[in-house]
Amino acid sequence: MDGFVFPNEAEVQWSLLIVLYPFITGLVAGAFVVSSLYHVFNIKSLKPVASFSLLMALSFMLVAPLPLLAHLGRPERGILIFLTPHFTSAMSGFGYIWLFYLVLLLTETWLVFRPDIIHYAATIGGLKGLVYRALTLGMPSMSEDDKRFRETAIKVLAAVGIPSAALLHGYVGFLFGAIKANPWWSTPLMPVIFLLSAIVSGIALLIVMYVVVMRMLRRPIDHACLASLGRWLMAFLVIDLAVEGLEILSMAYESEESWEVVSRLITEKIPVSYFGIQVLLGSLIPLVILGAVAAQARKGGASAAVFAAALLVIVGVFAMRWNVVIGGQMISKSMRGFTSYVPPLGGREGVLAATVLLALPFYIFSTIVSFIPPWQRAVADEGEAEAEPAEGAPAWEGADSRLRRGDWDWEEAVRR
Amino acid sequence: MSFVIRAGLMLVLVIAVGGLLMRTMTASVSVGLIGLTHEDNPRWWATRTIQNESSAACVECHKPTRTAITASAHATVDCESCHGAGSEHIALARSGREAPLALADARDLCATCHAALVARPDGFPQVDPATHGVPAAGVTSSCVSCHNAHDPGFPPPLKHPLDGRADCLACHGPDQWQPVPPSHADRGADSCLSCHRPEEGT
Amino acid sequence: MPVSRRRFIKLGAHAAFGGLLVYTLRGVLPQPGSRPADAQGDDAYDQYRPQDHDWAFVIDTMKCIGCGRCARACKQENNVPWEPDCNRTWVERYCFTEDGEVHVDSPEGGINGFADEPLPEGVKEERITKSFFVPKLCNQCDNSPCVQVCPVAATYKTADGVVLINRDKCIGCRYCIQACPYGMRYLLPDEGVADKCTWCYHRITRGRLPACVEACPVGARKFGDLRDPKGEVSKILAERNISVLKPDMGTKPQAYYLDLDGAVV
Repeated sequence: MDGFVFPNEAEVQWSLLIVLYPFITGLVAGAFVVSSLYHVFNIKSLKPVASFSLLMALSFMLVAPLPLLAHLGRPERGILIFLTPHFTSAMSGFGYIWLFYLVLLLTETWLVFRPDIIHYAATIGGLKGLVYRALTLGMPSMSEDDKRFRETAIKVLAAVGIPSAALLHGYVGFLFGAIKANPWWSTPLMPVIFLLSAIVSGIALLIVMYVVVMRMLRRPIDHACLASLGRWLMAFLVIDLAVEGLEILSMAYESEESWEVVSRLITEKIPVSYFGIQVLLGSLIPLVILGAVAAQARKGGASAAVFAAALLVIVGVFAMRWNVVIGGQMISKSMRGFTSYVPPLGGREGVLAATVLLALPFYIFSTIVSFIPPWQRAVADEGEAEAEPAEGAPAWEGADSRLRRGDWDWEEAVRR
Repeated sequence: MSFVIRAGLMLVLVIAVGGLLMRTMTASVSVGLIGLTHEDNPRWWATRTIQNESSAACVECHKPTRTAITASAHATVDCESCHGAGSEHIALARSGREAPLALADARDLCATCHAALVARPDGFPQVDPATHGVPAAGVTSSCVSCHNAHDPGFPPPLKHPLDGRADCLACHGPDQWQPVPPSHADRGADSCLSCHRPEEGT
Repeated sequence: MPVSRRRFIKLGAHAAFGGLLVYTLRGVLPQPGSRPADAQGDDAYDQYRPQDHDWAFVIDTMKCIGCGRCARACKQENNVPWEPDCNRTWVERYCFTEDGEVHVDSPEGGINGFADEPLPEGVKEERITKSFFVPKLCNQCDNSPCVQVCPVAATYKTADGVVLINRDKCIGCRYCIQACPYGMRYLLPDEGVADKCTWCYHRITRGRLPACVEACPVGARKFGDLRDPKGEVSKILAERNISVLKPDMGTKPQAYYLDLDGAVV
């Protein structure tokens, strides 16, 4: 406690779990944007990760409501957000936006992988085969009509998904930005800032996951794709930094009554987290790295640098979520003091719980890809231009020959 | 195309039925328009138990005290602010049972309002609890030994009539059984009555 | 094998009917959410018509002596936990010093008064130029941000001007606590729902005054009905210069202050 805080402000209300939620939904939005860049805008260089990012988005989407649920004072009443929403509240949007977007993700994933599912359902037996046959939803084959429909549907869903992803993370930004009581939160730019940092974090995590997973499976990495991702990351990072900078610059320039406490917040209370991690480590340094990579215009070989930049960006975005959620609550509404917050280790909202929740999407992802690995498509994607190898990188296998024979074993592939 | 319609209808149905079931299980007592109104809730708030009866309720048994206090400087002081919440006491007393209300130590209780604080309005009677009414170092006296809490006045009226007690110092002199407090050191013996008036007004 | 359209529609109709049946029969099932009775006779409330009243609060900061009786009476009256971070009302002390600084404190919300409390940190008594107390409580805003942000409409404004919280609906998300510019809300520790000052709704609907108003020995807190033009509060609002806390927030508070210093936030 520092200075004077109102008697009810001794404890910070929104804990580490609420820092986690925008981080997770941000990753979803970012990953999905990459997927849609390929499916809607036909950015060919992103094809290798289009399906990968879709599955990543789905994995994180399934975990998104859990930190919210664990944080509620009455978790058993969480369902009321769906049943009796109060639409003047930004938070009431969570129920339907999340549900709609989940359905969209599930549908698009199913459509994208339908050829694979059908193939596996026909060729793989046992318990796993049962799962595949269930996933076919009683339709074990695709007619030409179905194939055409699939193409259109994927495009439509991917297109609709972009504003939906914007809404999914934009509403969180609005949730904070519309709170006039909190000077650190209250700004019309908040939805934009959240969305941009979401896209940035999504692309960054995609880069990291792609490299790590491919390395684990000893599969070749598409360096051109990585370089392309690096350029997209840089572009969004520039815009993100610009908007965040604009916001803080405006506040400092206009120097309203609240600027006194806000400036003390960032210079005295969270300087390391804000200037050190969010700005320097998480934005400026990666920008320099990515800029250097892009300037060299080499198609490959800079993947390590892109990977490092992506790691830094992820840390930076997490710090940004922390700075917004926790930092904002540290300012007392009396404008005369600050509280402090140190997350507990255990308990429903502690560091351990947060770690488990952050690990869960990866676990879900590994389960999903054990059924429908995106790097090993059973059937070449129909209706698209025949896969031409991206410059300087090995092509995607259209179909693995062992797969056609039906005796492909994923676990064995990993072990090898 | 048919599978889309089927899947879509199935989804809508599952959500609708599931939603209704969930609503049934989690609904509060009043459903209203599916819980969008709060018909019963203001009633719930309005029917909470009242803990502090107002001072007007104390009159029922304590009329003389109440009359005295309403004519005094403590007229606006609620009985319960010193004596504690009275609902339980009143309920018990009405059924014939005694339940005296505990009173905190007078010096602490009175000091809550009357200790001299820089933030208090200047016109408000304030004293330094450490020195006011302390006859000698280390000896503390209760506020009520000079001040009648139900008719405090300022300065405190005498607690006894003056008949046969012409010489104040006979009892209140420095070596007598109830000496004046040190704050009176500079006051002459003939000025006692200029401040202290007997209650009965003789 | 694919389900025929007719069978599918039949199945759907059965399911929908079944669901509606369960919903209609819910009255037969034990009702969740009913509380053990803390209630007291409904008769006075049955005669009460909220739409006939418009409650307002007036606080005279120049009269407050910082005795803390109001905060104490409130906790007794409303069964508020005695822990320090649950305060429906409190008293703040402002000390202005010669160097132009303002020091504010509110030890445990003022529940024990200020007599035994030291001056705010770093303040020496001889350097104080101006000092006073300010009682604070929920403003029951007409344009209340807490009502606006509740995701399940658990908090609402009554026809007589009081903002209440439906404890059966509140999910404990704490968005309202974040939204209140005055820091008036808190989470009830045991129940996990939000709570705040209700202007003693159970007293004012039965013709009494809020507990803090009754407890105040110097008349610093006043309560009344704006529909009563002869009432004390209506007269004050008509004749005196009044102000509210954080007027720039646009919340339209219904708790008015007399002689409020500009430094009070």
